[in-house]
Amino acid sequence: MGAIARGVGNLLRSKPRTLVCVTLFGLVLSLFVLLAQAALAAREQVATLEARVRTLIELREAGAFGTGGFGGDKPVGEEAFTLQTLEKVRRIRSAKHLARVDEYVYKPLIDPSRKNAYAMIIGLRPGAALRAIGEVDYENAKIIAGRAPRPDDEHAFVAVVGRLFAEQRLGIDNPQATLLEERKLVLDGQDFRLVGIYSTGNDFGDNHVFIPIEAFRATFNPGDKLSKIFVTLDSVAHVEQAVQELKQIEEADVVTTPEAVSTARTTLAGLSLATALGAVLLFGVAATLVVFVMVLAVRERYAEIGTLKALGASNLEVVVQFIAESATLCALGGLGALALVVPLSWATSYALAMPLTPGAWTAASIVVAATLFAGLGCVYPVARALQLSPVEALRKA
Amino acid sequence: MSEPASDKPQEPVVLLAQVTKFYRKGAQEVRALDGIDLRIEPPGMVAIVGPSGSGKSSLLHMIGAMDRPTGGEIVVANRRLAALGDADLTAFRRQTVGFVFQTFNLIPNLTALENVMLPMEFNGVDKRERGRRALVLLERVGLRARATHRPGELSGGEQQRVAIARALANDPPLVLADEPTGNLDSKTGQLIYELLEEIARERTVIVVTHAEPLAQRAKRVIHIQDGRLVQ
Repeated sequence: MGAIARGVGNLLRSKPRTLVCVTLFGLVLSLFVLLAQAALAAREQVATLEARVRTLIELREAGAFGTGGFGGDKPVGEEAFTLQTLEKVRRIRSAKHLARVDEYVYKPLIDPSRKNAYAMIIGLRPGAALRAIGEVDYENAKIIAGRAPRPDDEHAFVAVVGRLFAEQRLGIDNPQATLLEERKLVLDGQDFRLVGIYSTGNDFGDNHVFIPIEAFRATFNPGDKLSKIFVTLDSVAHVEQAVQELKQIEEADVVTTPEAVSTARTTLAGLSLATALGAVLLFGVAATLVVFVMVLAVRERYAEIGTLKALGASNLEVVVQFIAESATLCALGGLGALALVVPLSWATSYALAMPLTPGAWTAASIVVAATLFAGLGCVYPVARALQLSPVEALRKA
Repeated sequence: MSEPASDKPQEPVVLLAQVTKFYRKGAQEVRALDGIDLRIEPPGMVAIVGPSGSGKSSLLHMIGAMDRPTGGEIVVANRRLAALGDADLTAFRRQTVGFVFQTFNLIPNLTALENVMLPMEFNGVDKRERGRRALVLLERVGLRARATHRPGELSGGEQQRVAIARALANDPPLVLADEPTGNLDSKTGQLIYELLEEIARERTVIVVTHAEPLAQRAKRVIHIQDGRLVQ
């Protein structure tokens, strides 16, 4: 029986104690990994919010309201919110901080014979976000069949329609089972080839048609008119300055982040901090637990250390025995943590309202953390094993 | 023509010259050993007797390289212990000395056989050979049938016999026993005396003891008091 086998076997001396230690360690380890994951997830969500919302500024025609930009429409030739406005946006003093500028032009499509009469045709640059007009806000449309408009569709007559539009106006009940390329729709006498179907999750948002802005202009002749301009800044730090400059454009109203987003950010940042602190605390608890168990193991076995040394065991053999014991304890704790992490992640996701899906990263974190704790657990035994002479160890027993 | 063996001065297995060991207990200095000169020739049993705290165990620990003296010279089996580093002292203990403790000091989660195999493992003996030799040693102390039992399943006398078998594992020229019958009743102690006496026929056994019957079996009795040998 080698030193490693003896070290592993030492854990079986008191099975109830080992079981309690392993269970406790597994629980603390899994919670530590989950909270660390939650802290990172919260930080990621904050970053996403900052990147996607706080840095996003909407410009609509002065006096227009709602996501549809109603109330601001003027006859062709008299419109104020136009391609010239777009040029003004691109020339503001903070122009170098404009990460992206997307222009959209809308045309309502009202057909009282349909169950859902109101639809909107939206012209956009291929590659821009499919911002469907939702019930209360813009909805991010998700392609469920086919594809979104591509850069090479710039001058093509192609269309992406909403799920409801496809169902009610094109007779497509099963988007995934339909050969889209063979389907056409006619807008103002112009044939458009159907290339994709999207969904937002609600009927109002799923009743629009996205087409390339050049095809929109060629079909509907809106002149230089624009409905919306979305500006994305390169950083939150530049939003305030850019907003001030954009407000100088007379024909545009500047809509910035609603207060709710700011609150969400604060909440998420608080959650991130709390979970990070919780993770640090649990790290300390897990480390203390392992170190305590190993200190106890050494103090209980001074006589044994002395005996082993008296029988001719080298320091290395004594050290390897304790390392094996600590590593086995942490490995068993790690296995316990792997078993506990799935139900605990469901509970944590539910409690924190944050998607936490245990995966390879979680397993890897548990392995790394368990290894780290095993190393910490070895420090005291190794130090004592190297310091004590056989007679000192026997005398301490 | 060579000299007859009997006339040749015998090489000592233990030689101590002016050995001292001082401990510090708080502000006080304790003289555990104070200028010990000792020469022990092989084989046979030598008993060290003396009152509690007289330095008997300290002397045994010095001879067994379990501790280093404060001063003086110790030579055991022709090895000058002061010249050996820690790693060499470890090797010395495993090859030259076998220890028997008052409280047996068997490893509780190992079987009797595994306990006896342990010093051979430290000495690099291969597993099959150490198993074979351990069984022979357990046979010798009358415990072959108990080879797979753990210490908790053995009586005090049986545990001490396993400890004696363990002390002989690497066939050392010197066996050191510290109060080997101190935790046993007189009848069981008697068995241990006989076993140690038998072992002492082929090697040197130094026994620290309070037990008069055991001391009487020794070829030589060394008295120690206040860290000094008493003639």
